[in-house]
Amino acid sequence: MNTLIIIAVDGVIFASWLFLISSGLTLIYGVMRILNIAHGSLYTLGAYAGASLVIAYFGRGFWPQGSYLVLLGAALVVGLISGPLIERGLLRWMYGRDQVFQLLVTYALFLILEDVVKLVWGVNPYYAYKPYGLLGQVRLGGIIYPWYSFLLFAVALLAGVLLWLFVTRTRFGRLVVAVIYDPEISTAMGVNVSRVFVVAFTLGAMLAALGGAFTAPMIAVVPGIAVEVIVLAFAVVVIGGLGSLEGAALGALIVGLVRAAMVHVFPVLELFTIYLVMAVVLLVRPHGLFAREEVRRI
Amino acid sequence: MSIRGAVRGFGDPGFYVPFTGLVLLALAPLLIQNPFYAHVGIMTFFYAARAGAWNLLGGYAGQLSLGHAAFFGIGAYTSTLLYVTFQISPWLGVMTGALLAALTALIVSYPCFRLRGPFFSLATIAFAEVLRILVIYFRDLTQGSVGILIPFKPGLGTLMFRGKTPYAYLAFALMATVLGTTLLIERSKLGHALAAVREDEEAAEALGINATRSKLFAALISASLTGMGGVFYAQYILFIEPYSVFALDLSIQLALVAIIGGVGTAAGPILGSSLVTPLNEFLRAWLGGTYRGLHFFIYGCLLIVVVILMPQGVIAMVRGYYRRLLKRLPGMRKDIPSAVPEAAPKAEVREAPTPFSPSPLLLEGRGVIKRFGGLAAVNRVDFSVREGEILGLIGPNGAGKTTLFNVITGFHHIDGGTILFKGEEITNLGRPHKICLKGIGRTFQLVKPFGNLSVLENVTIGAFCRTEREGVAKEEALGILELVGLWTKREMLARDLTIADRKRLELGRALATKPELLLLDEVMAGLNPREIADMIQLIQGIRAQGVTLLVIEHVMAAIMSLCDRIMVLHHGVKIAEGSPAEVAKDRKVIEAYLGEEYLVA
Repeated sequence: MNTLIIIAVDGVIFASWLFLISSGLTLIYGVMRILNIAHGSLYTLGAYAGASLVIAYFGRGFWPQGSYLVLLGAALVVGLISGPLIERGLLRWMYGRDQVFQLLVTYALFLILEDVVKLVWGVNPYYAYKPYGLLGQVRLGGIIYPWYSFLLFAVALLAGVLLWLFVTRTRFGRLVVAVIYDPEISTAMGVNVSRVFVVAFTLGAMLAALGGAFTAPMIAVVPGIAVEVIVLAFAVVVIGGLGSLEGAALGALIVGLVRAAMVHVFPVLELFTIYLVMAVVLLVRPHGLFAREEVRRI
Repeated sequence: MSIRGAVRGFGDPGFYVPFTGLVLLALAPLLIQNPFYAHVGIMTFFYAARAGAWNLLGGYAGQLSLGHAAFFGIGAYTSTLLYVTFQISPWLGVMTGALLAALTALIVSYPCFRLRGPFFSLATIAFAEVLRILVIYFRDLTQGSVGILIPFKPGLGTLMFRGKTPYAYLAFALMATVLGTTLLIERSKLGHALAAVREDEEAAEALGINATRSKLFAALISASLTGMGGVFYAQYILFIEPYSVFALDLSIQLALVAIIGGVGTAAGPILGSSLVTPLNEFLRAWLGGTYRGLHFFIYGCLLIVVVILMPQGVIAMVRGYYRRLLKRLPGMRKDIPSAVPEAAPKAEVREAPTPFSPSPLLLEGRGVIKRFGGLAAVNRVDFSVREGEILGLIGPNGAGKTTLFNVITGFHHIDGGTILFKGEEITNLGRPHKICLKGIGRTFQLVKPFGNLSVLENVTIGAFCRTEREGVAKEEALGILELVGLWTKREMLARDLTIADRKRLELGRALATKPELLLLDEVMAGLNPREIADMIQLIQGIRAQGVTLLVIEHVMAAIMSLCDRIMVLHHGVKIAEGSPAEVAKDRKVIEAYLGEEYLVA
């Protein structure tokens, strides 16, 4: 019984982290039909920005609890700068091009950002663990959890709810949905599709950076953390269905729980089972759990 | 006598220019002494070989794999483990590795081919990751993440050498093997099938192409060649570990080299590698060692520039110059004569049977039902087509006409009833290509030309349905192009044709599969009166060759003059059948088309 609770808690916390990363990826794919390999790099940028700003913040001796706002601010800044820059500067030349070229360009972007990170922050690890321990710990089912893990959960939940409200309740969100369904018809009906693209990509970048910034206090921030993240995020969005926000949430939850369970049962193969889940889902539903079948006329 | 030029001889610059190029490349390793340059050369050959192998699946079959590192790793680990554990020569390792890679491809590809677009690519990424995890996990066998060091024992039998030159020749041989395989496939039935599948899988199936099997073949060949590459890598570097041989990075690099050079072309990967590999190696040598890497930054920027400047790859830019060069060289055959070819092969003209003569039944449907959810798009329809007749199928929009076509040609499974062709049951055969091979051709309401292929290639692919030989298929295709009036446009890309020509092309393509029964889905929609008149003549010409036709049409004048009999569908139900005159007077038909009030008035 206890193990079940532990698995559930662990799983949900890991799922929150996964959701932050993959929701942006799936949003960008849904709107722009681009599979962004560089999404992990945006996460890395967020992690570095968060870590370095938090270290500087504590160096000045400001109010420690404010560091969470610093993390949030770092993510927003990274998203607001990199999003429009990448979308307007690079991706917009790629719309309508073959999928292979889009893939190649985002891969090139991934390479570039890897080096940008090294140029700006160097290759030595950044440790910004202070916000992690600040909130203290809680005992749950015999296991000690840092409160920070639940903060991560709260951030993911909040991000998810805000995103959902944005898409379903605001005018602009409805436009985004229209573009997801059909960019061409949307243009014909007066939707400024390029603006929707900029906003969607910036939002996606912000979510990735948010994931990175709030992960920073839990890890040593070093170059090369992008690859593992992007591969995991790919698995999540494939399980959920590319382009579906609900799918990303469900996919994250499934992957989170499966991983948590495996850590307890058979730790060596935790990653293996994630791909196993993905394979099973794709065998049953080749478009993922939530995706609409593309309507095709013969 | 082929019109396209006799067998290519040594005097043809199309042969001797690339051949000289390859010979020069083969000599290069003898001239280069500097070990770093030699390494760059080896890597260039090596990447060309592996990207070429990727290109067979990723380019020719259009399946964007991002997991080729899996096959590479299988090759590397197979030969290395065989050698390190059992002292089995890597020469045997190459074969075993290639075989295992192909076997893996066979197992993995089948479920993966059901996936479309990004789902396929992501599944292949996951597959390579899984293999890496397994290799790390079974460390008793594979030494886990530590990797395997291959003890250096130079010799031809152990496939290890002191100098770089032997490796250069091995890499060159690998590249030549891949190139040769690619060229063979390009000219074969498989190559044409792959081109068709890449362009439009449904249209390919309708032409009798088994799409899954074609892609599977491409995957097998591609995987085994990539596996061989893995063996070479192990023998060259003498150290393998799961993080480098199963890397996502490697899979992407392979795709990238092919894409930069020109996807789906034989020379593309070689061009791409000659550009990208030296660039990468030199940048790494100059900048990779510095404290703050700039190597990826510059490399990434250059990739983006190349993609933006050369949208179709380097080959598209070079091709024009190359062709002009060939024309100036001695021995070039002049252009194809522009006159109509000697009498195109024509089937013997048969007497068109008089309407309602009791010729035998060709196609028969009994109580055919097709439901979409709760809607019965085709509801207990009986139909029969007699040999040699033209049967018209009409009805208001949404009546179920196209659905009936899709049911007959195997695109939809039916929920009830039976369909017989020449007395043989063809109900739910499973895949459209089987129906085509039985002798039923079709066109699509929304035309599906293979846009990036020439008109001639489009029809040639159809003709490959009944032959294995390229020469025969091309000959057939030219005959058909003359019949449908596209002979002069044979070199144009299909996507550049007008709508009327596209419809002709689609008709010709279907005709090339030598059907006994041809199903035409609104081939006259969107044509002007002049073009309609031409089309009617063409269809009558086809019937005169002994082909039976089932025609969906909205152009009433055309259908009345063309058809021997007409069948009317409305809301999925057959409401009338008979001669054109009978159908035109039928109350139910008028009601269906014009509404009840009209009838009262």
